[in-house]
Amino acid sequence: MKIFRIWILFCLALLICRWHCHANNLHINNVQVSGNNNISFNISWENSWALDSSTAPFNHDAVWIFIKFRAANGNWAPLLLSTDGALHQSDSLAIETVSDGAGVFLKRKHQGSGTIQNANVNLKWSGYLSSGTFDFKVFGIEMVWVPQGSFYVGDGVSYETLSRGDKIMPYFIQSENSIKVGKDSSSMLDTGSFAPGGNIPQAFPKGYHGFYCMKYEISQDQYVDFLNCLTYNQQTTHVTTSPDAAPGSFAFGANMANRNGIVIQSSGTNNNLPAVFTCNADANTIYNDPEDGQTRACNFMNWNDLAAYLQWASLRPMTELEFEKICRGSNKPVAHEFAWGTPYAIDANTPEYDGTDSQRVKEVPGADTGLASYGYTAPTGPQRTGFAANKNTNRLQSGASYYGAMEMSGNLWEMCIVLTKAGLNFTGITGDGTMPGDGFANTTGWPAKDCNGAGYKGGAWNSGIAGQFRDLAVSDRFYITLLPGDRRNTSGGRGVR
Amino acid sequence: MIVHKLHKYLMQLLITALLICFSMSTSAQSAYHGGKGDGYASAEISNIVLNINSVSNKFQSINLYPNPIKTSENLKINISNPMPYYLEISDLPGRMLFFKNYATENASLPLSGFQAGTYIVRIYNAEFNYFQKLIIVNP
Repeated sequence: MKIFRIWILFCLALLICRWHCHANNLHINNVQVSGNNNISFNISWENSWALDSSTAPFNHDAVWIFIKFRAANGNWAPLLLSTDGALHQSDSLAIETVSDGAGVFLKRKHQGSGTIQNANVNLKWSGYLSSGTFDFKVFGIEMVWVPQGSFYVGDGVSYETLSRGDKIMPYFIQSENSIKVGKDSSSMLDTGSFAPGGNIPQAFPKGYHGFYCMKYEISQDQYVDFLNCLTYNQQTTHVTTSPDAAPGSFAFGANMANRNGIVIQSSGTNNNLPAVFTCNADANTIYNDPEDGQTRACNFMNWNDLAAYLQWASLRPMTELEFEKICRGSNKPVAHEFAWGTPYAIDANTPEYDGTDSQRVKEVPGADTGLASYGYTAPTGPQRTGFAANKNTNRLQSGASYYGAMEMSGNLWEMCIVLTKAGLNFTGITGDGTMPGDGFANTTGWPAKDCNGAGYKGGAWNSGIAGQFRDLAVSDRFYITLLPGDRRNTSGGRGVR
Repeated sequence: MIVHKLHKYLMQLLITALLICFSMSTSAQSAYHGGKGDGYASAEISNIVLNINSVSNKFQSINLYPNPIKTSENLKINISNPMPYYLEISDLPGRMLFFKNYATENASLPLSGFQAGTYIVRIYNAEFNYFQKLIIVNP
């Protein structure tokens, strides 16, 4: 009997161990600085994959790493990394450099899938810092690769959907070449009055070339980290409440609104000392406890908030054409389809473990329905980013796009570069990691403070999907011309690079 | 005998369980799986002292002068390899007081708007990051 009990306990332990090994669970720790220009750390995440040549959707994931530093009492600034990949090292990850040195992508060294466990990464920064005392922060954002390739925009039926010029049918994008607006078969129009504001220039990112997209919407702890790297004056640009308000004050209103739990932990001093922000979604006296909503998508962002975050993180906004590719991939359009490829959805309205990093819902989608946050019902605010995905989910059950980006339909509206006349000035330049003194993004070609050139795609937690108002539909363009200047309780976003 | 058979049976069960677990952990994790968290992480290290007495800088030689400087004078910045760069001046509490990007020219910045005191000058671009303490005095 003793042997029997041992075996039973062993098997149970095995099962329990297995149960706790499914999450993405991205972690960075053990940051070290050595020599004149080396920084190292360990990184772990689960459910990584690199199946570019074997299994649909033929892509991989990666983590975008960018680093900030500050001199004693100074402001946080981007630490630019060497563009020579040979100078960086990792025991088990591939390191992909970028031409501007703004960061690196970490990804699986070989094709396959599974857990990245405590991989060591050693990066070399470019140039040098003078003698002194410095602080360093390492940031990681999980991304999905959207490979180069042709794809369709428009589904033939959605509101203001993009279309071929000669007839109402999806437009096939086969290159980054400029696209004419007109009524012939090679030109693009839309089915209503929101036709592109002119010929789409060669330099405007159309989604044909490969690019990385954030797997999730910007979360509340992600936005907190951003705020905590800003000066007092920059902070005032990116919250509603003055940074010198009392500790415990909510950042986006007098009370917690629509599940945004960002609060002031310690007050700033006007025009001098920045505030320290944190999360407190359960509105108790303990900040940043495990139920404080850190992993919920960050709502109440307007265009200037999103643009500033993306510039600071050395990313860029996506265009509405890229939005459709991220969702649909290389598949043929389905009428009124959502990000998961069917026109059917089930509303996620019964959260479990709410506020924690394991928040999920009780709803179970059927064979052709995707799980998403929408529908005017509780909860009246965004859910955890990636709330629907677990170790066994398929595309519909996780509400994922073709390439694995989560919540492209529902949860929060995604602010994108749109095809209006102002939007067509966008050339895809990525942010340089800096933040001007006034806190507004100033990257060349991005929509300015007036938000002209930006719009909304994808729907949110309060969107409907009935009749004409199918906000979650991939090709719906109902709010494409609504300037995203307001801090809506439904607006958020993500970046690409 | 019964215990032996049970042991054998459990051993087979365990091997099967291990094979299942192994196959699950190495099978194709799809793009549609996920779990805890938000796909985001950060970590920090503080108070790192860099003591660089002699820097072999393959990118730039930067000359910032005069220092100390009077409020009535212009701060001059020469960089050896002309390329676009950013110039920031902050006070010791960390407030950014001046920010400008320069194309390739050497900067000549009037300091009449500054009060006497100690400041941090930062000059940087994709190739270099340079810090220098700047002391401004009254004429």
